[in-house]
Amino acid sequence: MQQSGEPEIDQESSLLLAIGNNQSQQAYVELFELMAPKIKSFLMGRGSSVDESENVTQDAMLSVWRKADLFDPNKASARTWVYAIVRNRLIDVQRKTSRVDRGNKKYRYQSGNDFISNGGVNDASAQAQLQRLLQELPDEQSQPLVMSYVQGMSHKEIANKIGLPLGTVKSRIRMGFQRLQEMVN
Amino acid sequence: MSTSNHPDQAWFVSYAAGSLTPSFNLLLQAHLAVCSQCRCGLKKADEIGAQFMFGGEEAPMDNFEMPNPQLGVNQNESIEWGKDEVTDLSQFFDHYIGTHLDGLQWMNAGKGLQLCKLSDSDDDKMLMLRAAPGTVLPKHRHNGSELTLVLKGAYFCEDALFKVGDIEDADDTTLHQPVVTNDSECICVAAVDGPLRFSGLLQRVAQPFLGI
Repeated sequence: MQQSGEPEIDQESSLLLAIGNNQSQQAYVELFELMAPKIKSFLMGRGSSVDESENVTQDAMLSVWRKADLFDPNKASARTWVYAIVRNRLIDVQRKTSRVDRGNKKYRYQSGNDFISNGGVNDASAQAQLQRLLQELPDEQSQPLVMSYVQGMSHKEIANKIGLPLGTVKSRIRMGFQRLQEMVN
Repeated sequence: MSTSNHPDQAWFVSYAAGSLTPSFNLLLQAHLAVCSQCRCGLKKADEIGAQFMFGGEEAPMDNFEMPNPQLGVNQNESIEWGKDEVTDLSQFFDHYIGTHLDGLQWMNAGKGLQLCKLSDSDDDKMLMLRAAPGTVLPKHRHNGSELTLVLKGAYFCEDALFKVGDIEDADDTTLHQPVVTNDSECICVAAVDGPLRFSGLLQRVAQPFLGI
């Protein structure tokens, strides 16, 4: 039960707490439906095959089930917490596989809106928010951020792609990140 | 060159994006374990990552399977910003490398300097450096990025002092010459994604033999 003075709990956080506190299977089903398709699409966007994306998503959601008792809504939102679990799974998977194939990306950067332009999505508010945030940034800042988060490119890969020194790429990522962060908060 | 003893926030964006090679991930993980400021930076990067992931498209899942309740729920915490502070990096080798410092095979790389290559590929090298007190390392640049984590002792570079747990963040704009402090040997681990470029002729001649 939420106590007065604590931050308002969103639906996903409530589900995570129900899993962590009570091992609620119903809450897990609902959280899976809300989050797993987003995770899978995100992984596919980084060049993973459909099967690999499905497997990593299943692994990540299993980790969510097993670690849910460690979730603390006062420390992070459910989305941030689950994102961190997914990226750690991603790091584990990449440690075991070659980076050679990572050049084969589904996405080619044009603007920050490219990867959120298709339909078939039921969480329009999150999409609209991200679109608004990216549009607020100059292209030179949104470009390396999208290349990092969406395409999974390293600083060196970004520097080679857009023909700028590493230090400039890092500065643009840092400045774009700081502006995004200010807007999110 | 950054005179900060922490990596640029851009590194935590890449870490959060899962876009780093293993050596860079390892170094940052070790630094995160001892640095609350950078754990906070990583959490912020994860918050933005969550915006990207949950603000993107959906792809239907092929299967759903309810986890076995017998699996239990009390796994080790795997999220860096949720972990307690570590104050000692002496377990770095056992924990991250899987071997003890004494088990490494060192090559002599100049006066007072020893080198051990832990991993070696074109875009991801991990080097251990062990330097006697007062050693002046060769002046060099990089064809790429270099993160150096201090595990024992300390060294000066330009006006900055790098101590245990600190990271020096260098890139292709950096020309640096680390100087080990006089009170102790210095052991560092470095992740690099391109070859070093030495200023001295002797080091340039020796470079192919050292493979750095």
